[in-house]
Amino acid sequence: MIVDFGYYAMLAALVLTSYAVFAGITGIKRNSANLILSARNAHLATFGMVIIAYLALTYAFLTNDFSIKFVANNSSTDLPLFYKITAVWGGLDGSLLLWQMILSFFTAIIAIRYQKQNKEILPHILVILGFSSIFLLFLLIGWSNPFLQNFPTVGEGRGLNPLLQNPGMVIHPPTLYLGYVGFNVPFAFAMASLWAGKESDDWILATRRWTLVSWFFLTTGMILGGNWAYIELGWGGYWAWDPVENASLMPWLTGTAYLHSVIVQEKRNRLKLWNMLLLIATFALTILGTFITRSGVLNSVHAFSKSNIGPAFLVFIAIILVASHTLVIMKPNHFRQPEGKAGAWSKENGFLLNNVFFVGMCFTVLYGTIFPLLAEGLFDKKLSIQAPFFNSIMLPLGIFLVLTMGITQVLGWKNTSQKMLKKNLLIPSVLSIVVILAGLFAFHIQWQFAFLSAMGLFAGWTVSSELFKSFSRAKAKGEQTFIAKIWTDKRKRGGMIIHLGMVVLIIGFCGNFYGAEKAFTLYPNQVEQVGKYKIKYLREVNYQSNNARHVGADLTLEANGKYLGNIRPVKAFYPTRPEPMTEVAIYRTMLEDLYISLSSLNEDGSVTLNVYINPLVNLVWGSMGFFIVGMFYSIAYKPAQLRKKKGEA
Amino acid sequence: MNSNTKKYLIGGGLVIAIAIALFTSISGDNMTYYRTPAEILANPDDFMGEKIRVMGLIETGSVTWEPKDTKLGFRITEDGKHFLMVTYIGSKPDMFKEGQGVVVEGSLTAPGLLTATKLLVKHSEEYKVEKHSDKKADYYKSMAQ
Repeated sequence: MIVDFGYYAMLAALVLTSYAVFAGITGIKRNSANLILSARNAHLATFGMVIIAYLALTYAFLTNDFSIKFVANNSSTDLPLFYKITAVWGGLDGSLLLWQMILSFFTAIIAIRYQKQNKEILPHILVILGFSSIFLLFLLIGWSNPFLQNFPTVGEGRGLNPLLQNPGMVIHPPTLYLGYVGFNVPFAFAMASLWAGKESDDWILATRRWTLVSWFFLTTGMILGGNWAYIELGWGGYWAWDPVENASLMPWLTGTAYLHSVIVQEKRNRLKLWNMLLLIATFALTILGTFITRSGVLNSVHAFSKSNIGPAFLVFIAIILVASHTLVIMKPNHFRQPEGKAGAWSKENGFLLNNVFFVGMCFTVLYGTIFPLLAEGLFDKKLSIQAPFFNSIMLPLGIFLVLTMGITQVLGWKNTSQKMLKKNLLIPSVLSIVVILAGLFAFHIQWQFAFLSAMGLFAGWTVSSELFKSFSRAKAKGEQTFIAKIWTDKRKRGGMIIHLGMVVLIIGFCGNFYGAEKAFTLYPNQVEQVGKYKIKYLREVNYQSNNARHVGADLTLEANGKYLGNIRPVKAFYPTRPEPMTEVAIYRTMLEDLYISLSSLNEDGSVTLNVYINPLVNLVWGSMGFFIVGMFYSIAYKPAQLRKKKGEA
Repeated sequence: MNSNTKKYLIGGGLVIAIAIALFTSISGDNMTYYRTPAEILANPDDFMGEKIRVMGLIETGSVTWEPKDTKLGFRITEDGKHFLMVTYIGSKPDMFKEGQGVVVEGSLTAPGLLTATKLLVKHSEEYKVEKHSDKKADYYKSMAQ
């Protein structure tokens, strides 16, 4: 029953979107307001249908309807209620439906919101977003239908993958999808503007918040994913240059590059073509990322099911690339730039340089990710590219990028005087050179660590001092209330706070150079020293919690003669899964994590433990706080041009 | 030189430098070929000292585990005819079991003996449905081994 409901809702959504695209194109051609209005309404109706389909699937999970294959594969009767709701995106089919719902939601917001502003390109935008919808709905109906019937019917489902039964995993996929789909919006605006032959660039202002929010979700989505890996996978780290991780990093790199270079277009009317290409690349990379993660063409430790939807993704990427480049080539006039010179030490050049690094990094990741595929396809050699390759290129590029970030903060548009440069850069330059020299020659640390931390310090200094200046300016202006002092100069402060978050993130990365790792076996009451910690094994524990049986080790921790507490790394046995899951125990402090995973409980009464010391890892998660605050500042700012327009209306 | 040309020269130079760095940096240090146990056992001398990756299934009954030294030993095969001995110092991964597909990476320390530095268990979202309860019991048992 519910199966038919959801399936027909998806079918109706496909028909409606197809109609909306067709009506939209015809309406634009004939300049018919009625057709365009009808197309818009069809988009709104599509959203309704997708919600129905989504709710139907959720309902099926809540009622344990194992006659649906997707539900039977990803849920079981004993699954806690919370995870039943979130199990909808615990597999490919359901997550595509979630993706489609977000896309439809964004389309509906745009259809409703931009009826006055950007009215003339709204029909074009909706057509372009409609194409994405058609593609996804086509996949949902043809290749990965979440409502597929299960024959023969089973009485009990296989249960949700225990790895996914974690709060981090619950919010990570939707967050990432919000970012992915979000970048579809500026792409659609840009393409629509080209298609409609619009002279002005106001789509940039209209999509400024969309871009920022998408970037925010993409960034936090990745950090949350890393946090999930850290807690659930039990190998002590959060990033391994796995194809699936790379897939989300690539659009982030080009998206971040765009976020900067679009400001050059907004302020100085330059880099028009470049921005268009970055947007196309970002959008295509989000689709490529999904292709890589979901088609199973690459060996990945991520436990995604293989499916045969790969070719569909490749076709869609090809369509995106061909269609968008055709538009770009057909409208060369659009990209004419005003003559204008910028001095060497200008913000324009700072952003340009940062773009070169971002794109270089993206290309590195792309190359390393698909190289094994090329080698196998072209030369029939199976090989694997590992972390050292990525680290050897990404680290130097990253070091230069952080330096560029630090310098660009103090640069002005057009040019910066030598005096200003000296005033703002002298102290941090001297400081970072001292750090590098001391690190290399006095402490003999790795050069990558010396340079990265010095650059982090450099950028941290310039960003903080710019932020500080902004606050003292507000004070000098005589802003009265506390709120007025805090809530002003929002664009600048938002940017500074987010960059400060980046610095925090980078310092967190530096912690990786100082981690320690040890595997050992303990008998009851035996003690092992790891770093400053003394770990003592007391006894085996065995208890039931939620839907799993936990077996593990009770350990006491001591450091410098002080008792810190008991922790329990365990293995969890889920009745629906044959393999046990390692649940790590983490003793967190501000500066480092003591991370213990249970390797095995041995026959002779001993336990084997893997112990990691991870310095500064909490800064990586903590950086999200800066991103959140900075984002609120940034989106609260309204560009002057938009404010004026509203005043006139 | 006008500033635009300079800019393009710097930008172009950077792009070319990155490209060269990329294409030359995939080397033996960060790239490993996949080999099969049969391939290695045919000419073990060719592979001595070289870093290799081998994919295979764990032979039933071949697993040994010495908790004191956290030393894991097993044999892997791809075709059921050629078996490669593997030793690994470290912990037993969650899904490590007989018959399971694994990827090991390391180098040959003796002909036919691979000393692994990395051990990855191949796993997928799709599990077999049947006989959960039996398997669970097996797993409690395998844990105690």
